Amino acid sequence: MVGGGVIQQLLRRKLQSQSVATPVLSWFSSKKATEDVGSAGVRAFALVGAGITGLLSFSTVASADEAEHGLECPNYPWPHDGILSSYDHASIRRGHQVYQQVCASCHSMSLISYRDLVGVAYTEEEAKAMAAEIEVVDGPNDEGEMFTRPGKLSDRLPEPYSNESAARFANGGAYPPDLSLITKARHNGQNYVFALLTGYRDPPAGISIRDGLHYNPYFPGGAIAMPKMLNDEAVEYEDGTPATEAQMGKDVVSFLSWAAEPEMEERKLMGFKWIFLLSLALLQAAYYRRLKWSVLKSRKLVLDVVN
Amino acid sequence: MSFAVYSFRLTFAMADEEVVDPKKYLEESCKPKCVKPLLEYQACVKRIQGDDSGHKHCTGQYFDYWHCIDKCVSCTKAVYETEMKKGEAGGDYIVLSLLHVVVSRDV
Repeated sequence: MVGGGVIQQLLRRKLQSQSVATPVLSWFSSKKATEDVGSAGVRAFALVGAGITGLLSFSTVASADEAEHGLECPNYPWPHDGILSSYDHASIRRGHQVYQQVCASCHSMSLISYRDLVGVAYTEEEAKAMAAEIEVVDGPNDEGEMFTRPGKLSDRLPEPYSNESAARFANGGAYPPDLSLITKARHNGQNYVFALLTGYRDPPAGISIRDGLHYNPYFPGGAIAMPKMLNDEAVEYEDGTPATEAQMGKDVVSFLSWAAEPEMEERKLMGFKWIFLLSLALLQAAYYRRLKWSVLKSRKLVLDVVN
Repeated sequence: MSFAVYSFRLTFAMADEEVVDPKKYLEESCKPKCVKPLLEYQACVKRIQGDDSGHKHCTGQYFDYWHCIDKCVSCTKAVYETEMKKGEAGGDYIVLSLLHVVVSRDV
């Protein structure tokens, strides 16, 4: 705090040189000399004052960051987390059911086709039956007209809105994002989606959310347009599992994880196989290198001193 | 991950109507471990009670409290067990857990 010491010295000298009664008047009279000691002291004070107000305003801005980033979501031990762990396919099936009954009215999953579900969550007949329930607009017929037909395995999952504007209009300006890649599109996606879906709570004291939005601490900013969708017993599972909020959250996140990373199981198998084989190859390579270099590394140099 | 019914087997066999949400249950049981941030939050609520400016809020303390609860819930041993039971079939048990650790919960 050299500045503070300097300022004190300046002030002391100023008081000594001028009468105590009229320090202000004498400061004014000596204003002509801009490099004068007194005005330098006042300027320093002004600068320090400006700095303090700057710091204070920074602190209030910084505290707003917490809600801006959202509450950090915890990490849950997903069954498919391990190095050789597959998806829980029963959970994927239940999750698809939850998606269909709860989420599909607003969220599209336009990158997933019915045929992708075959062998993962449904048999071919089941998937065909599910696809046949929807109506799909198909290309021009011989008369040049578009027509509708029941869905096939090759069709994509149906979209609730025809375009983004329609989606926004129906949801108060907010766009329900496509969920095909959502667990990869958000930081720590799987845990984030689960925490978000099951984390609707009353807002903290002092926070009020406007009509049409809902409080969710995990959502950046805290005010999300989506209301709480997962409630106990909202869905009746085909396999009889009790549909608690947490169960539905877990199942839907398993489904969304699969949708975003359907290749995960094959990738893990491939990874395990190739890491193992390459480790063997590394051992072989190390042995071979040391074998070849042993000639040089074991040579001896003899110095013959000739007198 | 265990979010099938977290309830003791006895009660589940009897009551197939009433389901207990495991996450809520675990959050309740984690409350005693997070008393300190809860008290901080409540103190903050009291402090800003008279405020009319609308600028004061307790988001920080709220986040601290819920972060504590979340951490506790995600680390509970119960989270490492998964079971799926068919209520109607009355007795079919399918155990689906890759980390099937049968431990007693410590709360």
